[in-house]
Amino acid sequence: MKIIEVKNVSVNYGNVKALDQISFSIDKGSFLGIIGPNGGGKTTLIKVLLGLIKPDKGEIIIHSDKPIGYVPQFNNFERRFPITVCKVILMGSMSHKKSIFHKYSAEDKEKSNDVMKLLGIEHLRNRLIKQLSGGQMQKVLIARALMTEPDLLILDEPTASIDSQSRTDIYNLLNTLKGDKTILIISHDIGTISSYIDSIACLNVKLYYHEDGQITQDTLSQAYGCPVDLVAHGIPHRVLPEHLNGGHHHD
Amino acid sequence: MINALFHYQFMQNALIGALLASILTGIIGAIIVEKKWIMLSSGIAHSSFGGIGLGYMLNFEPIYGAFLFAIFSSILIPTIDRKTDTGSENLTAMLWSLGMALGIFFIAFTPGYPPDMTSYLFGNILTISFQNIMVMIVVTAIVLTILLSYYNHWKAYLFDHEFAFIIGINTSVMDYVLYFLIAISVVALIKMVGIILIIALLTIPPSIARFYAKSFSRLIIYSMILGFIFSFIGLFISYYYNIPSGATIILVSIIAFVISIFIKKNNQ
Repeated sequence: MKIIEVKNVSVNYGNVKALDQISFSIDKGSFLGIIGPNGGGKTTLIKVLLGLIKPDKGEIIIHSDKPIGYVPQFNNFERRFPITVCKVILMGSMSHKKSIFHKYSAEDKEKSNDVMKLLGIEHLRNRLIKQLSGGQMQKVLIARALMTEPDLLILDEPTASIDSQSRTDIYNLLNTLKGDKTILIISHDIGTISSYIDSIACLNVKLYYHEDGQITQDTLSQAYGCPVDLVAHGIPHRVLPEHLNGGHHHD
Repeated sequence: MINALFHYQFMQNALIGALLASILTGIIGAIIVEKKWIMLSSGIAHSSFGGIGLGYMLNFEPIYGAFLFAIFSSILIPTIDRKTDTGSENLTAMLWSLGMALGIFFIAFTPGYPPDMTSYLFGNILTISFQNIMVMIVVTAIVLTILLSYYNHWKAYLFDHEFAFIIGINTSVMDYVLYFLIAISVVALIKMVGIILIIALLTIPPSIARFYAKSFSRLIIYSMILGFIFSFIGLFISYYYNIPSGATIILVSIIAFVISIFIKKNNQ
């Protein structure tokens, strides 16, 4: 069963094509990765999926009555607002109840405790967000998205420039959520992503799609528009097609 | 001064005015500082000068004209921005100067001697009338009601408006409501600090409060307290040295800001 269907979606900024006839769908419970160069339309695609931008052409069908669980790029995230970790996470529960004089219920608070435990950040609950490290902030944003109890989770560059321990924690968590939730991850971190995902797509204005999750030199060349040195991106050996192995060394 | 407070109606008005102004500036100031709508707010305040001129020309209460112009700009800026993608900064600059230009234009057409505009431009807390107080009470009541009835919505919207939109909060309505609240608040404050100096009273208290506040509600409350202290000291200096209150309030605020930077540095 599909959870999201994207059909022939195009977005233009003036004369510039940001997305050109993008079509793909995601099976319920699967884990899709989208990679692509900067300026390739990754952010635009996310905004279209979230409904923040209306596509010029095409349509997006979401088979879920719950809002998408969105995890924004933490290093673009403004962290000067005076708010503590637990209050940020609680905000996610507003997706269920938005009445006038809204107050968080005891259940909301209990649920936020569970989510904090799941991410191992309960000791940070009263910390101001500006006092968090990158990895900690990323976990807070994931926790907030989980509070909305989404069917579909979209993460924008979740592991860019964070410490390796947090990176492993986050991928392990996503791996356990997989199946129960559908996960779409958008990243240029090709190496790490490919060992977790079910399928992968490369986005550079157009979308190049791969059911089996294999990244080939052809795919990357197509998407990036020029040959890319896979080794430089730290791709583990097991996802490398044979013909690339000779003569290259990875770090 | 305590004696004067008991004896003179204008001193009582000034004190009530300072109290109401600090409630308004605490809330709106904290919001625009977090939202980074500072220049926009200043632009809306300046555009209201056109309405003051219109009031003089057509012989009605200038403050009502100011409301008209400020609300009109606050609707126009986001609407034109959405339709034409001009950028709200550019539109703010245009309406800012258009309002000022129209004000001067209308006053030039006003029959008789040109009126004294200094109290509108620079404010004078000592000339606040009972009618001004009533206007401030109504505006403060509107702002407080809208803020408190949807407090968690406002917090979510100010913290991360994209996320607020995704979980189903109508952020574009909140945009318009916030523009409207800014418009009525700046006009309500004109008599206190004047069009030109409003922005300082809106931004300095939250800028200091941000050093210490650990939550948004505390940011608002600290800003209110600081705003009241500054207004009170400003009023005091105004009264004894006969200097317009707008200037004294702003100078006191700036000095307090500089001191708070040093305190903050020494504590780190």
